[in-house]
Amino acid sequence: MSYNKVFSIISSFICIFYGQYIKAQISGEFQTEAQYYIKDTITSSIEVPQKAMMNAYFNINYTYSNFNAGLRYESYQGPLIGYDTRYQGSGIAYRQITYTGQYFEITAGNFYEQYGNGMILRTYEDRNLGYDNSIDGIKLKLFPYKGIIAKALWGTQRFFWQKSPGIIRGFDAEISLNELSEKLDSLKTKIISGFSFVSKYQKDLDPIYILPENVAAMSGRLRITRGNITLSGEYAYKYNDPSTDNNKIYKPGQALLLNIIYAKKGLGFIIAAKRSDNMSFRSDRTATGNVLNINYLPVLAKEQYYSFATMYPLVTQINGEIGFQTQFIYTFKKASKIGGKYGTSITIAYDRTNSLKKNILPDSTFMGYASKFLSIGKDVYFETTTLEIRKKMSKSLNTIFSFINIIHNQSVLLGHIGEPIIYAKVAVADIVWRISDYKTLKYEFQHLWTHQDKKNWAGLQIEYTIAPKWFFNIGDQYNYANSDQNRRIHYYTSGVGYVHTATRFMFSYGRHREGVVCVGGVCRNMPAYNGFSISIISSF
Amino acid sequence: MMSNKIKLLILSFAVLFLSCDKIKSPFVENIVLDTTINVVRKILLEDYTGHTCPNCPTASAIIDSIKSVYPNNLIMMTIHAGYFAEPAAPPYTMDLRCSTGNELDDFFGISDVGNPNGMVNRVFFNNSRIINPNDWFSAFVMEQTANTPLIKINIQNNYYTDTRLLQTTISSQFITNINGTYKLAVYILEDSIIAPQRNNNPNIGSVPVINNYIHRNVLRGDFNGTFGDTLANGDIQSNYLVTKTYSKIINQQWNENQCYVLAYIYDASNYYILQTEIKKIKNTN
Repeated sequence: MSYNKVFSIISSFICIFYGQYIKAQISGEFQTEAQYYIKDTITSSIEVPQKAMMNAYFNINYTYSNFNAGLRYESYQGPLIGYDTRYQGSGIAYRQITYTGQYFEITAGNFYEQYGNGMILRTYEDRNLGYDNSIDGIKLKLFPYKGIIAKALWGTQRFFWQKSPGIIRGFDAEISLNELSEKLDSLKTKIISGFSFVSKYQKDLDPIYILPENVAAMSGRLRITRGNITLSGEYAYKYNDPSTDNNKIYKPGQALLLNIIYAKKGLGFIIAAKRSDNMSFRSDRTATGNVLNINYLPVLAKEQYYSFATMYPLVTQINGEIGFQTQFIYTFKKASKIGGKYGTSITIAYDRTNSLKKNILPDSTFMGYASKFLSIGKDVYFETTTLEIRKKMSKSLNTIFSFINIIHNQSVLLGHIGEPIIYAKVAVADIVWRISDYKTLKYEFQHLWTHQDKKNWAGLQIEYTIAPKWFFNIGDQYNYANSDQNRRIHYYTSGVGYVHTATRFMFSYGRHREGVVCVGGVCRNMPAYNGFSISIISSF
Repeated sequence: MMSNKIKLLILSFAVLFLSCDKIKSPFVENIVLDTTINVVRKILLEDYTGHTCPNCPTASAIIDSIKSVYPNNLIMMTIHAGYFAEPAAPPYTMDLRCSTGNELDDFFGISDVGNPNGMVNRVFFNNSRIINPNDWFSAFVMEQTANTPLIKINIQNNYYTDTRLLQTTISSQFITNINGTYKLAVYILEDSIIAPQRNNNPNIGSVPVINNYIHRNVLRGDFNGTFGDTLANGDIQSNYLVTKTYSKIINQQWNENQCYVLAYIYDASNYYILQTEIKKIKNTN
């Protein structure tokens, strides 16, 4: 009997029998999405022999006293278009038991963890991306002294329905200096410092290269807060790690992330800078794509919400990039000249990511290139300038107006080699009209201008909500200026949803354009498709 | 307050993780070629590619580099399948896909992972049958040095130019006692098809497109199904010989002077390829 089955039986036993006699808490969540695909000759969407496909997830959590146990069953009958087909199948993808004591917490099974900003270790699940790099093993968390947390972990990573060939060992310690004594706690300046060390092991089976079987990475971080301002930074270093990503070079990797955040009522700004160089860190040195990543490299770009603004996203370049981000938010007071009766807020943001400046070294060095730490390459990868104004016009009318200027190097970011850099401008008007206490109508007008790629787009989305049960939407994205007359396509969508207690049903139909789905710089390709979709999300 | 034992435990954990190997030059092993084997074991490298795949010419160059070191041991076949192989806007109008290649691609899920990718004798290298071009050389050497030949294949072609009929006779002889089910798959390849290819490597050719790119050993179809037919099963004795003959009309669009018969034998239980052979259809030997 497999470990999974034994684990499931034990977990079920605990839930069913113990739950009846003692005060235990059981919670969970069910989520499924099924899609029925229709052949669409206009969009050249891919044909699906099965016609319908489905992704489903069922989580259950059991908590009693200091114990917590949980498992997640996943079923991919397809899986849905755009998801990695290696997910095909069903089974228990996640199961864990945790005990929390006064000085320690121990987890056995699958777990997610992040050290600092994640630059040497971050495991997480994101269903929108079809991303899950959980670790299966042991995690220990220690609280030896007030203000000190030490963590250790040891395990292998999830690789669809298998495990990574490499083993991960990690250690992290974080000290909140102010918590160490009452005297320090009384200081206005708050300091938190941390150190992480992660090592991976993978056997060297390569007959040509002498590969490091143990590859280590370490990072140090510091956060200082005084009043409304916070300064933070993290530096990470990775030892030689020849891999498919870096074309088997023995150059060490480095990354630096700096943040300044200021926030007070009505005013805030963020300034951030990042440099990462050769920081791909995976539990399989031959892996590519969104699999078996041990670390995560944060992106420095304002998060965009509207579909046209996300059409050309920033995709993290794991082999190296340098960038910075600034964002300024100001709220004009109510009853002021600009603030009006209900107040107005304005956001101005600018971010840019460039290549690293590299001097290519001879192949015989096996080091790939040299790059000065603060030198910036001439290639622009990504740039956005965003202006966003939020204004409440009346008690029943809320508006958001956005203008986003985008520079997107599709050749680098999406691998569209030889294609020109995209210069796009996006304007959005988001108007929410509260008709009554229960009824809301939302209009979202969007327009995208560009001379590259598929040229201009216009879009409209209308949502009607009858709280708390019903919601309806209808929309269209029209690529009206495509240089190919036959590709001037309407991508229309419609849907209806119903909410009953903690369960949400959604039924929709539409034609979906091809594109890239990104969350935090991690992306997956989404082919065009046409069809029906049913989704159910329920929690208990 | 936490006891000293627990503090010691934390320290022990920290020390446990201090594992790192720092490699210094030379970074490569000293490889010695073995030239004493009579029956040559030929290894099949399946390169899944497409004409709009910009990284594919670089992958093809890797094959050339393996071929330069192991000229007698490598047989390569390119399979045009998946998104990058679809006919697209000019100049990428040619369609080099075929149903055999599509079926192989679907079955092994290569283009789902992305192009270029391939398989080396369908062996698992670092737990994956699908191998990135950067690892082809390593996988090839591992496969080359780890196994001795178990089967010998001989191909005899009779090609009739007037009718374009090709008869091919595949003789397979087991060299050692072996147990299992073994299948023979026989394909037709066309070499040196000249057509545009997207490219991002200026060291190989013009960027972003090489207009007169030479597409090597392109899979065109099969003689006995994508996965072939059974050659032998059960306890197979040394010197056991099986001869099979197949025929096919060579497509008018294909250059008969550049067509080859490729035959390979694989273990039906795991698709692992034991031996491969290739021969030009117009070669009278």
